[in-house]
Amino acid sequence: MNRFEYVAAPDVGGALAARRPDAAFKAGGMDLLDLMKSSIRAPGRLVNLLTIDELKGIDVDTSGATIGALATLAEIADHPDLARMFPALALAAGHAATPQVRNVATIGGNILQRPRCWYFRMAQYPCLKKGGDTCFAMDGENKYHAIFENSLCAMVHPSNTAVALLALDAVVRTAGSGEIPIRKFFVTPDQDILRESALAEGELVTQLFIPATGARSHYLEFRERQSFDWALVSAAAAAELEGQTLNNARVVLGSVAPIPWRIDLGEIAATDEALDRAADEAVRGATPLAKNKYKVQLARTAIRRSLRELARATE
Amino acid sequence: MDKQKDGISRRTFLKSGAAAIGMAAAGAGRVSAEAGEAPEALGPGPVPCALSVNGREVRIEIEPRVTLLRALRHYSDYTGPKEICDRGACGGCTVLLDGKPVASCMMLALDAQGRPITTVEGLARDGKLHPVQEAFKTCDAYQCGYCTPGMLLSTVALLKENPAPSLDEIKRGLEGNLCRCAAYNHIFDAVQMAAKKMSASPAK
Amino acid sequence: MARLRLKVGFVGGYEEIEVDVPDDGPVPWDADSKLAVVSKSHPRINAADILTGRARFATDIKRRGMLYAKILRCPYGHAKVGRVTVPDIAGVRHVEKKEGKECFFAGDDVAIVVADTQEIAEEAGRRAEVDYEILPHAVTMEDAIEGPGVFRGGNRMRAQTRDEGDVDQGLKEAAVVLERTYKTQAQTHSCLEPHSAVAEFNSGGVTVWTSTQSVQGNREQITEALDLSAGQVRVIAEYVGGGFGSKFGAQSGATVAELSRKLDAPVKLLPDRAEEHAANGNRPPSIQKVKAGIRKDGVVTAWIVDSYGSGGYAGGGGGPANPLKYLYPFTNWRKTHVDVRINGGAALPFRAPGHPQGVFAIESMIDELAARVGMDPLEVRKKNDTSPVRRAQFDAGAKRIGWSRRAQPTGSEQGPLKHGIGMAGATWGGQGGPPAEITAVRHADGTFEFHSGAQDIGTGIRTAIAVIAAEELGVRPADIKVKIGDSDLPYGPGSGGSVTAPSVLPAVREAAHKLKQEIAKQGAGAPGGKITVTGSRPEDFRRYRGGVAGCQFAEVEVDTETGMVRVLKVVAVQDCGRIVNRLTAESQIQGGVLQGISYALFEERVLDRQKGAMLNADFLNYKILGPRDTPDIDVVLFEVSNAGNTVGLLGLGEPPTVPTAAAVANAVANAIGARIYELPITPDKVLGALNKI
Repeated sequence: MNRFEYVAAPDVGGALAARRPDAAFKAGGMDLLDLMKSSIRAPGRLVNLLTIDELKGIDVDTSGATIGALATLAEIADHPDLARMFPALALAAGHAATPQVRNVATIGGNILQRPRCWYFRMAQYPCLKKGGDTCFAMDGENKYHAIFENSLCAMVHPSNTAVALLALDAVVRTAGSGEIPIRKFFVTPDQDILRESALAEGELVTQLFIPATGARSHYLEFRERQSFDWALVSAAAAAELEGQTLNNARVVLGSVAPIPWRIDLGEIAATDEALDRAADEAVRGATPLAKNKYKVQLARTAIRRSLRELARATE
Repeated sequence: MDKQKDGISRRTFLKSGAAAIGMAAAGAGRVSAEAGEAPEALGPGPVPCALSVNGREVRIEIEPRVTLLRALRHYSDYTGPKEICDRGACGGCTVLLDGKPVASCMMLALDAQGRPITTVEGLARDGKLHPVQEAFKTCDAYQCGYCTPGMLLSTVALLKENPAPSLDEIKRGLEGNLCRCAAYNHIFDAVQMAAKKMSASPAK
Repeated sequence: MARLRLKVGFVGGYEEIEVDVPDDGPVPWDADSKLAVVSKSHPRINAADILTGRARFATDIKRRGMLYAKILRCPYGHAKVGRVTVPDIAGVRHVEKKEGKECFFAGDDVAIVVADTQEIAEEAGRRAEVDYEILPHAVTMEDAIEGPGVFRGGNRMRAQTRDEGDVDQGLKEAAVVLERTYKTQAQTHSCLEPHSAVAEFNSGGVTVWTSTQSVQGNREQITEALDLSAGQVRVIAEYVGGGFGSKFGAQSGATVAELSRKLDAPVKLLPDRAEEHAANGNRPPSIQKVKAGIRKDGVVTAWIVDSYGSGGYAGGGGGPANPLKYLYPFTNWRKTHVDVRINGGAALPFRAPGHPQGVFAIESMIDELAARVGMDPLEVRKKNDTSPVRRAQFDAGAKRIGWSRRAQPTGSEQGPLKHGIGMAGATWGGQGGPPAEITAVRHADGTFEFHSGAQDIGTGIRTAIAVIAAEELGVRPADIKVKIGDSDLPYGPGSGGSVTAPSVLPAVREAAHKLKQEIAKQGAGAPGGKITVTGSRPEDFRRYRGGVAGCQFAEVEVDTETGMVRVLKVVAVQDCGRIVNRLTAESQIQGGVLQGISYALFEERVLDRQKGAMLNADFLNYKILGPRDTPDIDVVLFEVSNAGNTVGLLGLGEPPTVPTAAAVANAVANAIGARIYELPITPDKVLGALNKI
């Protein structure tokens, strides 16, 4: 990695004060260190956020869950209240990476991950997201890339938890007292090719808030390898169950688009026939690339199975 | 500005910072702030770093960019943890930090200050192998041995959290540790053997 | 010489052969031998070192004043190196550049930097500026075969053909003729320990610690490369973090030795994971067109293979059709192979070179032929396989897996999760032979030492030496101290071809036998009480079988709505002649099977056609099998008394990885009623075969 200064921020104010054009905030460091080791980033200063206690912690009450940006994926996966009220999130966090990574990676860092597209992560490819003029995945090795919203850049958003958070209508809170509804948090390449989130430059995510509703939720993933692997396609489903009808049903697909891909289904019967119809409808607009057409079938299956699980789940 | 003294000075910063700005507690409340006082920057040249490794204090001077893994291997004498992928993907660099397995290649040494670190060198006590080590020996739970330090520590952590894991729980607990020789079957045997032994005599 | 009758063979198939052996040597063991410690389960004698972190791999070696070297590598598939500018960073001690070099693959070396720390060396490498003239490349075999020439002399190399009998006549005699094309991917060795090395000069010459499969071979190569004299180079590899065939070359050792001499300081080289994937070895990919004919009674009448393989830029295609002929002794067969050059890293021998690829094609085709004539594929194999060992192994394995449970007809199971069982046979050589020398010592206090200049790369040969010595001397393995992995020790072979154990262990018996004789002769009258003898591996004598036999049965579950494949269980029946250490034999077999599953389902080197770089040179997107992908493996150690050498064993390192991918592919076909002809069998391919794309 390049040489850098290291600043241990004592609090949010200190972190903000340490900003510089060449400074990077560092939480768990899982993504930042990878980008630095790959020579994609070379910040001259790292501002360590891990010492900021008020960004830690998970609080759950009847209004919902307030999760500090520094809560680790392990803490989220193992939290009994989160597992009970928001299973999609606990499952998504528990599926991510490995125990070693989950013990350190933070939810804030996880939703702010840069793309895992291999062209993005290799310095010799001047792709669009690095200020270049080509998307190398478009006509290249795009087996793991997007099947929706992929006309400009074929990346898929790599965060498992983002998929769950979008299904759960989370709210992202930032240091400047801002609140960004999760629907507005993820940004498409058309909106801004150089970023994946609406977080302003130098701004800090401080908390996530998930409102309590009566909704059930579930998360699943399809992978090539059972041991930790990126998802080929993932899905977080949420809905209120009434008998065998799902109300306010929504499925968010992961690894199919540059942003977590939300499909709202409204009221739908929890039968294979109805769900298959809805799944077919949802993928009708897919624009797969040369090597990822199989993801359309995976998406169909993910939609059906994740929603079906909501009806199967007992209290 | 005062010079840094070990990692303890960080607490001094915390106290003064919080008092100056008056933070709201996390939880039901929000966290917001404006830019306050800029904390002191360390580096980019070598700075003091105090690590607690296997109960011993290790004082070294390293650039901030040095990972915990290299601080242990290159700048100190703990060659147990291995550098295999350097991206946190294989578990070969696993150490226990506050008892939890972490990828030391993806952690800055400075971030590990003041927190107890356990490497494979710290498992045996007074020349006697840890029950997990004994079980690995009995079951031949290795071949070339390169993944073994990380595998042992992940196993120790797994059994601490789940003293009687099912085979599936063992596989999930160890999924962050890759073994190219693919000694997994014997490794699972060893974990099950160690679990039985340790629950029979828990005072270890 | 003495003439002896030895009982050889296996349970249910014993016979007697006559062998001629030196009359003053150890008596060869046979099926009737009652042995105290051989064939039992023994923990490794160096377990404590492995388990406590005391074991020193080359990467762990630290010498006073040591400097760190970092190789700068070409990021493009084919480029000419222009000017190289390495920044003048504090701590950089030395730079060597290869300006003007034509790089033939992404990963080819361009420059080397030596610095005070690994961080500085890496930084200098990363910040170096290189002018590259980009040249055309071909990174797939299809591009190399069909596209413009990239290499001088052409992309395709000369075809090599071998044949026997009359294939045209054989095809005429067939009731069914099938033509299929099989493809296999490039697989990187992915040794967890990189090709690392440390060198330090002293007045006697240079010591090189390196991660190698051949301390003797490396010593010779480094001596020549540095123009030193014999005896000036010592290579140490006490522990090696995986080799799998990729660690015979001494490039790393020679590089650090050269730098160490120039800079008058110890130098360490630590290749990173990206370098390991791109530049330090792989199993060649293959394209195999197979045309085969079968009679109604299940006898194969003709077998034709036209294959391509690519050893990367250096040529050498890895011989995917290698197993042809000696897996099944077909009467009429022809194999034609063309090596294709592509802009990829050079292939290196990889655990059973050519065999997993070739057996995938052969055993897949056997299954399809069997189906076409309405026969059980197990019965077709028995019709064509003349190995008595393997025929018995088929029965043993079929019983263990429950062969009758396989899907009949294929793909007929209800529901999205479909199960299937498949099988494949395997064969390998692994006889070993001279030279191999062992020094055996009995100290005055009655303790023993055995020294071998071979190396233990994870197989447990260290412990096997102790077991054989203990058997011969009537003590326990833990009573034998073993020194290994040092070129100063008596000559031992490189650990490849599964020859280490069958070469070294008979030499151990010789040495132990001699030691016993000397102890009896000298007793307490030895000078200083210490007795030292040398034992040499004698030539082989008559044997029961020339190689080893094995077969594997795999049970899989396929989710037909996602294409995901899970291997549920593998029954692995394997012979290695006499088993020396049951525990480590089991480890070898399990490891080989799992590497085979990994090859069947997950691993693939992806080279980008736009710039020629390897896109997955890491452990995130290059997927090796992990804990959650591990099925239950039922190891059946099929003991064969083989004679041939006084221990009666053959090598076990490679055989168990040969049939696995084929067995898995056959199981998948059985489960879903459709066949995948290309490895790895990933969800997209399964969905494609099911017409769900």
